[in-house]
Amino acid sequence: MKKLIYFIFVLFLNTSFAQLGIGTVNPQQDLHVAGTTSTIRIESQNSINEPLLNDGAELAPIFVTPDGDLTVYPPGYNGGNLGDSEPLNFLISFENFIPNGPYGDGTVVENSELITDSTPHQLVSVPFSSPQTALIEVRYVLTLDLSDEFLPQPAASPFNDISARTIHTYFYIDLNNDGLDAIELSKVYGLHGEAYSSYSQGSVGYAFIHGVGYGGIPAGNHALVFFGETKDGTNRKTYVGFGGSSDNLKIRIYN
Amino acid sequence: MKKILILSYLLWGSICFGQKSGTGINELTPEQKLHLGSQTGTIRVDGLSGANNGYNGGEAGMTYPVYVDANGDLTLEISATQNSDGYDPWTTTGINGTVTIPAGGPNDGYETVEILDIPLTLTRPVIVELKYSLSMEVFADPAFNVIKDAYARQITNFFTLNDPTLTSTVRRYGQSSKCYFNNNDAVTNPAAAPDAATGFIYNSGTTYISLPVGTHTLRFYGTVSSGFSDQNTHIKFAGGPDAIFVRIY
Repeated sequence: MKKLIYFIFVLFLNTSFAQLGIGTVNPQQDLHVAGTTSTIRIESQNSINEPLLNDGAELAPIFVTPDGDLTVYPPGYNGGNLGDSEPLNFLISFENFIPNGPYGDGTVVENSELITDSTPHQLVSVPFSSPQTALIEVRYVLTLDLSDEFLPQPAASPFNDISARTIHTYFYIDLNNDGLDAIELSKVYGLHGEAYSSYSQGSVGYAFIHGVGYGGIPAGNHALVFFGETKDGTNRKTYVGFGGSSDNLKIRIYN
Repeated sequence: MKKILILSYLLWGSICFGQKSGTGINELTPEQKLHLGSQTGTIRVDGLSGANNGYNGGEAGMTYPVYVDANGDLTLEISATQNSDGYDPWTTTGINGTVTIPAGGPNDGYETVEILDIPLTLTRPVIVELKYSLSMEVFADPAFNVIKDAYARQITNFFTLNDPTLTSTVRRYGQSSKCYFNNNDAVTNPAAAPDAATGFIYNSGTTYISLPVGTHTLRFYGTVSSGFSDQNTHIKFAGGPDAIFVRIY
């Protein structure tokens, strides 16, 4: 009898660790619940035991904790405090990610009378860390300060030649934050472009632009590298200050 | 020995096949195939933990949404239905990427082009999230001469759903517009040649569209307006890098 109990005990251990089928003798995963209408009921996550997150009327989404435990707790939820309600993972949220500079001109891209197309000019490189493989959503807002005379300086000079300029912003994702390689430079995100012209005076205040981009990244320490460039006519002067006022940047894990 | 084998078979059987209605853990009368009756216990899947799964960030206090794949397997992986992910999805010739206001056409100062179609066949009702950034260059004519006149141009992009013909009452989605104006040296030197930047400027739109079961067509349009009367205009779409993102919920 002792042997028999021992044997049963070993068998139990075995079922704890080997593949287990419910409704199938041929499990295809470690736990395989077969049957065309089968599902799994976890009472600890029902509307009686989790009434705040599973209200009994709406379906509640399911998540896993860092341990791999199934739960109805959304990311960052710790008991119904303010800000807990959105199941969103933000990696970073920066106010003013481009320094304003002494005259509020941010990072200036020069396009003197000697050239018509500015070289792409790096505005800022923003390091960030992702703990996981992810599809990320990047949203940025920044300001443009336009002038037909050299920036940075205390006041911009309005255009008066009625000649159209175009202003273009975008960013690259520098994986591992080790400098942009050829593959990283071949992938352009957050595309935005504006055209501007004026005859005598006109607004030279801050104009807001925004862009959004979606990229697949591995876990690790990376950087977003923002660029700006301008185009104008022959012998025209265009100076654009990017991010001289209140700009912002958010990265969301888009799951 | 025979008895032991029979017993072990019965034991195995009770775990594999459970009672008539399912297998219970801390539950004597399971109401699903697998029923966990504990008021606090849950299921731990090591393959979905932060240590083992790249999509689980493993940060204290954070959780990660779970999905099921086509087999019904639990997974943390998520990807968009379509994401250009930094690569340029369109070229001007690859799509119907130009629109021209010619001299001598109907004198309404307006032209439109159906740039591309996105067909969707749905077996369930969905919500489609759609985002795009489309590059544009503005010229006077297909020879890429620069505009120089006193008229502003407006370039608009949008999607429509299913209507094969674009009329003024067809609902539009994800609209975005830009204006362009160049009249260089009109005061100081009216005879000066056209001289200005022509692009790239961008229209970027975003929308959510609820769709029922069936076959649908999203149509992407571009329009250009020069005002009441026709002024020579040629818009080249997708000459620069572009982006498209589609996610189906």
